Amino acid sequence: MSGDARALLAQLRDQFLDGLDERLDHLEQALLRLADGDDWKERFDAVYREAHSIKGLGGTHGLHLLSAVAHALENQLETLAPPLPAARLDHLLAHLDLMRDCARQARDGGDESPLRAALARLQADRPQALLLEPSQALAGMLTRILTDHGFQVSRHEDGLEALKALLFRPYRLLVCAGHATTLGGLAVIAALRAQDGPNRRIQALLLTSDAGAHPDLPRRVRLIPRGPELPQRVERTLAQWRAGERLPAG
Amino acid sequence: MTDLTHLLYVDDDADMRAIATLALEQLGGFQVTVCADGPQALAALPGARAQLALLDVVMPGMDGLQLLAALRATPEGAHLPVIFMTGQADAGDREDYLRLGALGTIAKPFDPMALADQVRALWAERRPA
Repeated sequence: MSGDARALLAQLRDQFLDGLDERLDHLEQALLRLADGDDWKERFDAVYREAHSIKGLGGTHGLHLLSAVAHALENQLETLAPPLPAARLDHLLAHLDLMRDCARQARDGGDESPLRAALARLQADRPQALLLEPSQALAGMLTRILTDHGFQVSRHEDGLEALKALLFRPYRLLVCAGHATTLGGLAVIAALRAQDGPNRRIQALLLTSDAGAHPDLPRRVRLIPRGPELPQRVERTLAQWRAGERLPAG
Repeated sequence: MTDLTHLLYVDDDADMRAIATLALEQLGGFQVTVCADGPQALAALPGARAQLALLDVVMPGMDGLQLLAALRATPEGAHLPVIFMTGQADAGDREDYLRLGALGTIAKPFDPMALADQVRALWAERRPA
């Protein structure tokens, strides 16, 4: 019984692999249609379900690298909102190319390590931003803006926790509230500047409702007043910095 | 003490249904009523003799949580033990599922060779010693 089941499972795995290129072609078309912008929710749900399905089936068939790439795609999709920027579309499509390579490797055999390295590169392709913001609503809005500018965003509500993360892992951008639990944004920046860590010279946006209280900002820190125009100001600053090549393209 | 023999399995993904059916019937020895969505499951339930339902969470239309609510409103499903199968659940989600009355969660992707044992283990936990 077990031997029969194993043979049938192997057969199902082969069928899945045989049909995967076609599924990925359909998924690619669906992603391109997503970029058109119409019927976003319906199209997005279809794309997400397909990525989710490939992740689940890949893992169930023991194709763990394929499943990991689909999982990475699923994570990327979870941060998407319309309209879909071209840079992000290219990044999403790169996941499909890697899944095709994984399928080929699973069918034909060969070394898996170059594919693992490619997945690591894909995940590292996006610069990291750390967001220190206690307000969930504002954090959601800022995450969307940063994501659209190509960043992968890690959010913290607690200044000390944010500082711990910043002391050990390089980030390209810090966006921080003036006031946060345990440590405010300015204290975090000051602590970073005083250390010889990976983010000593990090570019930062300080979001504060008390603009007059910070006449002497450290270098590479831009103050953004908290208020109704905050999202537009953040957008504008990121665009200016990108144009001046002070931030990496996403 | 009742042995677990009859299952209801609901998943919108045809390939996943094929693997789970194989794992539960051929390897696990269960009799499984397999459904592709919530409405199909609700229609099949009266004749299924199911002692336990395995529900996928992410499904178009009626998702697994909505299906659980709909099952609870039927005579056959009012007290039917349910296991959610999901690739998305974090610890908080799993606690929510338990609060909703689920017996437990089986993570997707699952190992087909171990699925039946996982189901039996969760079933055993619910039975009095």
